[in-house]
Amino acid sequence: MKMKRVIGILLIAAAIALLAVTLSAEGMLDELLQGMDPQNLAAQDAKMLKARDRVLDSFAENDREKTLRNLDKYLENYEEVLTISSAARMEVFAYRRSPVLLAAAAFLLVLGAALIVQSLPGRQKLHQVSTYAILIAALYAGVYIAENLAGASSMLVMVLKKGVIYALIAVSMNLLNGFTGLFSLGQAGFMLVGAYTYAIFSIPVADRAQVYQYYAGGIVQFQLPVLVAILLGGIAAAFFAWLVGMPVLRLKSDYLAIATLGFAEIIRAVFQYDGFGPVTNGSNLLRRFPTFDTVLYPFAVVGVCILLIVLLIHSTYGRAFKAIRDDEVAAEAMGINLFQHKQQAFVISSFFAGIGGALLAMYQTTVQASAFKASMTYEILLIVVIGGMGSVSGSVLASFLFVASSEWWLRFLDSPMTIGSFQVPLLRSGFRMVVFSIVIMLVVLRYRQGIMGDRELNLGLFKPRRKQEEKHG
Amino acid sequence: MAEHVLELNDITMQFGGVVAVNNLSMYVDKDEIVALIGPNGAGKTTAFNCVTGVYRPTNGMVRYQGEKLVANHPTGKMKNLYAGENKEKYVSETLVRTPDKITKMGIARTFQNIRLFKTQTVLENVLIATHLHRTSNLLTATLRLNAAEEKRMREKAMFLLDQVGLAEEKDEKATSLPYGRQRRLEIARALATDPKLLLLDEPAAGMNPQETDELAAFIRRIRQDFQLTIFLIEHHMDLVMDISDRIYVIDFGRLIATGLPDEVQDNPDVIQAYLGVDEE
Repeated sequence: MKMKRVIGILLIAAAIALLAVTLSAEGMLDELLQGMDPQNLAAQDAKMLKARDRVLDSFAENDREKTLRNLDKYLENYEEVLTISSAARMEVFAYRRSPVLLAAAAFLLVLGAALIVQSLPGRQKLHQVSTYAILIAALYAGVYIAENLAGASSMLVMVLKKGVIYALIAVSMNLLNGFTGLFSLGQAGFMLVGAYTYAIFSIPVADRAQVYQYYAGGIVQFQLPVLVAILLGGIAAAFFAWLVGMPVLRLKSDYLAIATLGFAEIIRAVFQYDGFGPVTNGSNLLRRFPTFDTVLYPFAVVGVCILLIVLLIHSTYGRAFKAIRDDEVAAEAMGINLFQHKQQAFVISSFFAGIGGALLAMYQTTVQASAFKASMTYEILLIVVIGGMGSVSGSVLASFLFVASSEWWLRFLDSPMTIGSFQVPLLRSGFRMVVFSIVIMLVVLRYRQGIMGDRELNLGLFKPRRKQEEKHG
Repeated sequence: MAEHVLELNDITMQFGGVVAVNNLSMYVDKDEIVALIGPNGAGKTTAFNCVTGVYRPTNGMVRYQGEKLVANHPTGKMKNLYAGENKEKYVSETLVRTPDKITKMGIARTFQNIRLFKTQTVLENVLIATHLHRTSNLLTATLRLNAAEEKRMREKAMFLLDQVGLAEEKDEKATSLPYGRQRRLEIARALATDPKLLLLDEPAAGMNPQETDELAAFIRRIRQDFQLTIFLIEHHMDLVMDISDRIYVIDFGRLIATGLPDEVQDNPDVIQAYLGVDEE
């Protein structure tokens, strides 16, 4: 216990030191460069001076990549004449790797704090929460470091961005299909509402004339802050769900699926309708709205949303949802108002689907209603089924696997390949999807209940199982 | 006259051309244990379902503590099809309540074919039944601002599990319990809704004689401890004769006898209904 506290304090101290070094390197690049200069710099070389100014200029412009490029050139070309102390070397390294170091420092901070919390006696629950905090901090730090090492436009970052957005949408669909037992196929429609609402209210006023070129600049002539617009996207989707839910939620099983699917198609058609052009831009693209440039942004928004969903599922309302899934007749006999609770689950699920749609719009940088087809719903449904109906972590895991294999890992199958003089057969554009379908079939055959079933990925996942085996054995 | 806890007036339930319950009138008084018996297919569970809101009776009225609970008269196609009695008596009455509203008013039930929440643990099954008295809304429950309420729910659920002797098994899956204990869990779950009237649909079905004896003692005990009025359907004659204060017997949906257990036991109509017509 005491050991843990000491380690915790040490870790926090280390994190603070790391932060200090990194931040000072961020701020003092010019001083650093001056410190390296030989005494008689002015007499030395005009070219060298110019190179040095280029570094400082790009630094002043706050352009990280350019600064690093210029710095490399400068250090390389004039290495002999510069006086580069080991301290200076460290500072340069710290500047070069500052995002990674900052992420590491943040992680150490959380780790240290969590260890101190765990060294305190009592409150079992707090200990558990702090363990999860460590895992989540590690995940976020890892993602941020990966983004900075792999580069913002790498395939890995693309997959992370799209994967995390799909994760939110899959979890929201799971709340409805897996936890409340309502087989709904309207997810694409609610994503569309979210995406459009976000785009319509966040395009800068100056750009509207160009975006709405066929509709005289449109009728919405103001811009909302990004987060407000995202939230509004969720609220708009929730409102549509509330309207749609009133007639539709009185239906059961397959009929509900057909009705929601139909409503999603209607929503898509309505948003493409020329008459609403001044608002929705008809069947044309919406573009030029703000997007995110770091992968942390969608991770943060999705993290908060999924946390809320998990909290809901474990609340008394979540228990009521699960009761409806297990046995409607018994749930109603226990005083649970079926329609009210189904409506709640439907509206909440759509709210988060709407937020997911808004994030997807930011990821794609453009929105067009025709992209939100029923096949998008099926993709999400596939993720939910593969992950496991009734498992949040299953949905999240499956989203990343799904996006990674459909967009990245199987990409090589789409281009012809020759090994020596041997032309590998079958490889051509489109073959990827054939293999992808087969992989999915194999996964579904192997895991009948999805990867996770209705279990969750947690710290005790392996413990109780072993205990049970002992009991039966 | 004191009000009956439950009162059925001329209840008729007709499915298409089939009259499942015909003109059934009966009452249950406070603190009584009343049994409704009859051969298979006599319409016992149908009568139950009319009280709990699962079915909407075709004709007649149910009162609960003097208040109108359910009332209906033949409408639409049923106007011409109706084969029961008292067709005109309730013409101005229609009052339909869904099962959850009726449970909220203080009538809880168990099911003939056990209906537990299969994927949930024993504790969660009981917790779900405490949901109807919540004061939190979606937002406060999600943000955990209802910690006090949640604690109350858990304490109450644990208390009830303790009462029915299932506290040890609280974290096991409900369906992993043996049959007799699943029945007890169903009763605990029903008690969690804070009922004044408990409807038990064949509570001893599938139990052996020893379990049945225990059940009789158990039902008496919960009546005492929770000040319940109990209305039950049962096939098991030993149990019915043992615990009932009064008995109603129906056959083909019609009331054929009523009275104290001893009286009913010797009633020739009842014997005939159960054993068939004596052919000589």
